[in-house]
Order: sequence, then C-alpha cells, then structure tokens
Amino acid sequence: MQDLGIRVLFEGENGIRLLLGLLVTIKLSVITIIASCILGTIMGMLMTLRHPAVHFITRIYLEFIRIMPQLVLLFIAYFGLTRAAGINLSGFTAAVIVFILWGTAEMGDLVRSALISIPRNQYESGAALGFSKIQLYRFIILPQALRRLIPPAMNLATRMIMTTSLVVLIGVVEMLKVGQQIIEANRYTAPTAALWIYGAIFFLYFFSCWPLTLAANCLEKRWKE
Amino acid sequence: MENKTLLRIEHLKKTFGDHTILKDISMEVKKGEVIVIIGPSGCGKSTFLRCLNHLETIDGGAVYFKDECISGKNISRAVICQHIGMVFQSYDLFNHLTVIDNITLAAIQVQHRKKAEVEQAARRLLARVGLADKETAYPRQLSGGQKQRIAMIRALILNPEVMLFDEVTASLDPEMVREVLDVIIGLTRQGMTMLIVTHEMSFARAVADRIFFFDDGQIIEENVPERFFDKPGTERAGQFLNSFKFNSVKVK
Repeated sequence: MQDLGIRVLFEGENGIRLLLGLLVTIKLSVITIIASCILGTIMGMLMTLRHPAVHFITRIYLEFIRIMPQLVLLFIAYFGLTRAAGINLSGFTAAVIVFILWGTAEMGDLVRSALISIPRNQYESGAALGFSKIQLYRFIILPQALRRLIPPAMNLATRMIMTTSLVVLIGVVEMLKVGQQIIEANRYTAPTAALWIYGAIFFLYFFSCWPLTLAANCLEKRWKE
Repeated sequence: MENKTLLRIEHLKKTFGDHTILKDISMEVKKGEVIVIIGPSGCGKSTFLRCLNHLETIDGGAVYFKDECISGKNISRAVICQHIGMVFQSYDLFNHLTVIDNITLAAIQVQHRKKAEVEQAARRLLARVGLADKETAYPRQLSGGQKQRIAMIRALILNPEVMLFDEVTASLDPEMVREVLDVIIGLTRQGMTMLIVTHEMSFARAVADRIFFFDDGQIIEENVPERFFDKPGTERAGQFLNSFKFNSVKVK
C-alpha cells in the first residue's frame, strides 16, 4: 500500500493544481511583502520624527496590529466589513489588505529601530557638509540602515509567506487548500496520500523561503561593516 | 593676515530649556586668523562652534559672514556649509562608503561639481596628508588618526573659508594626535581661517593668534597665546591652566 500515496501526487492534474496553489501563495506573498517594504519604510521614518501626534497614531496602529492574531484580522476584514459596512471583499483582496497592514506595522518597527541605531553623529556630520534632509537620508542614513535591516526584514518576509496559509480560513484556495482538497478526494483510494501531499507542500514552502535566506546571507557578506 | 573681518559674532545667546549655555558671546575673526577656544568641559565652547554653522539654533544675537547675516532661520544649511566647514571629535566617516566616496559625496551632491574634478582634488588632498594609498579603503580598515585626517579632507574639499575644529584629537590615542594636528598646522601656513576648540595646550600655544578662554557660557579672557599661558590675566584662567600642570604635585 505504501506506493499508493505518492502516486496521487502525479495523478491527473494534481501536481499542476498544487503548483497553481503555490502560485496563489507566492502572488499573495510578493504583493504584500513589496507593499509592506515600501509603506513600512515610510512608516519607520515617520516613527523617528519626534512629533507627538504622529508618534501616538503610529504607536496605536503598531500595538493594535501586533496584539491581534492575524487570523482575527482576516476575519474582521472578510466577515466583519461585510456585516458592519456592507463592503464585500473577495477573500484574496481581504487577505492582501490584512497582510499589508500587518507587514507595514512590523516593517515600520524594524525600519524605525534600524534608523535609530545609526549614531546621531552621522546625521550631524552629514548636516555639517551641507546635505539637505532628503539627501542625508538618501545617501547616508538609509544605505546604512538598510544593511542593518536586511536580516530582520528577511525574517519577516519568511514569516509572511508562511502565514499566508491562514487565508484558507476565509476561503482563498492556495497551496495548502489545494493539498487538502486532493487528500480529501483520494481519502478512500489512497489513505496515505496525506503524508505525501503535506510532504510536497513542506518542500514547496521550503523552496519559496530558502532563496530569501540565501539572498540575505549573500547581501550580509557583501555589506559586512 | 589681512585685516578684513571674515566672521563677526554679536551677542550670541543659546539656551537649552532653563539652562543658559551661551550668555553673551561677541567675537570678530579676521581672515587668516587662528582662534583657539579653551575652557573647562561644559563651558559652551563646542556649542558655540555648533551655533556658527546651524547645527544648533540660536536664541539671541547674530552671526555675520563677510557682513552678511548667516544666523537667520531662512538661511539654508547648504549655503552656510559653502563657507564654513566643521570637523568633529568623533570623525564619523560614512561607514558604507570608501574613502574617496566619503570625500567626494558632498562636493558632487551638494555643490554639483564634476566627479572627475572632485576626485582629482580628493587625490591631491589625500596625498598631502599621506593617505594616497587609502583611496579605496573602507573606514573600518583605518586607524582613528587616519579617519580623522580623512574627515578633515572631506570638509576641506568643499573649499570653505572658515574651518571649525571641535576637539578633533580628543578621542584619539596619544600617538595619533600629532598626525592630525600636523594637518591643522599645514592649514595655518596656507592662511586658513580657523576656530579651534582643543585641550592640547602646547598645540594651542603654537598655532593660535588669539586665545579665548570660555567659562560658564562667557568669554572670561581674550589674550595672545604667550601672555595667556605665561601670565593669564584672570584668576579663573590661571586656575584652569594650573590643572594641567603637575609641577607642584609631590607624590614621593
């Protein structure tokens, strides 16, 4: 009976379907990670301004997003918005919104801590050379902050990819869901398929996240201060 | 030294909260003159330099460069830094850039000069301070004294007319102090106008045209170096100078 399980993976369109599921996972991840990086950088810079109102708002936003489990946020966006405001979002759109909100908050905090880890002297010696605020950030502060940001940001990106599996619960059919469907469909003919399908999913996740870690290591080596 | 006034400071005031750092500082600096400011720590001498190039906002008085007021809030820093260069205690090279990029970045981005011309000038300056072979090095590969000399070049390449040196040797190992001070001595010979805050007394004596002794946010004494060090005109300056001498200390 052992060979029955692995056979399911290559039966019909199962393999292709799993890869298509992976595509949904990757699409969701790429969109939200890129948006989070951009918005998070802006948010992180805002958080370093010593403006009381900005500080207060960003703090509340960050704490709120952090305290809430991502699943609750997904439910609020998918079910809550429909109930409360009559806004009907597709599962995918709701997921994109939630993951961007989450990623921006986390990324913002990482950018903030990277920025404040740059010594004040760097700002001052830049200012004494006549750089404007924007030039100061562009040529001196951000390039140095980026080097410190890479490891934690890659860590966050990996976490985001893995957390996308939660969107199953608001009806988005991504890799994990496809896997479950295949397992269900073959429950009687191939009871051991679960092991093989989940095994395949494990490797697909692994190979989605691994390049990020490799890239991070590579950049870290090149930028070693 | 020409007799033209380059920098004029009138009734400069600076406060941090309730604390008055600079009470009422007035000073005229002529072109080519070397002013050395000394005083106990916390007397406001560093703050004074920082007020001159807008690193601190001032709370009263005015600063004139060639009779033009440069202390107004609407004066852009880029304009001031064309005239006034500054070097700090903690050298602060930009760690992600090579030596040559550290030196040329501001000239290219702020002054919009041609890259080739600036790099040529940078190489000339590097050779002058004996660091020609460090062009492509990163700051982490350099000693403190080397970094500080490069920080000086980084300011000098913008062709400032006044240089401010804020305790540039204070965080260096003793054997590296000389190589940095030699650069300043070289600048004196070229007739650079300078305001120097330092604790190196023998250097101050050698290089200064006038000494200003600051204490408690005020100018306590202004004197020529020989008189200041041999026979200070005020009791406080005398006390301060005594704290550097060990003649009267008997250990055994």
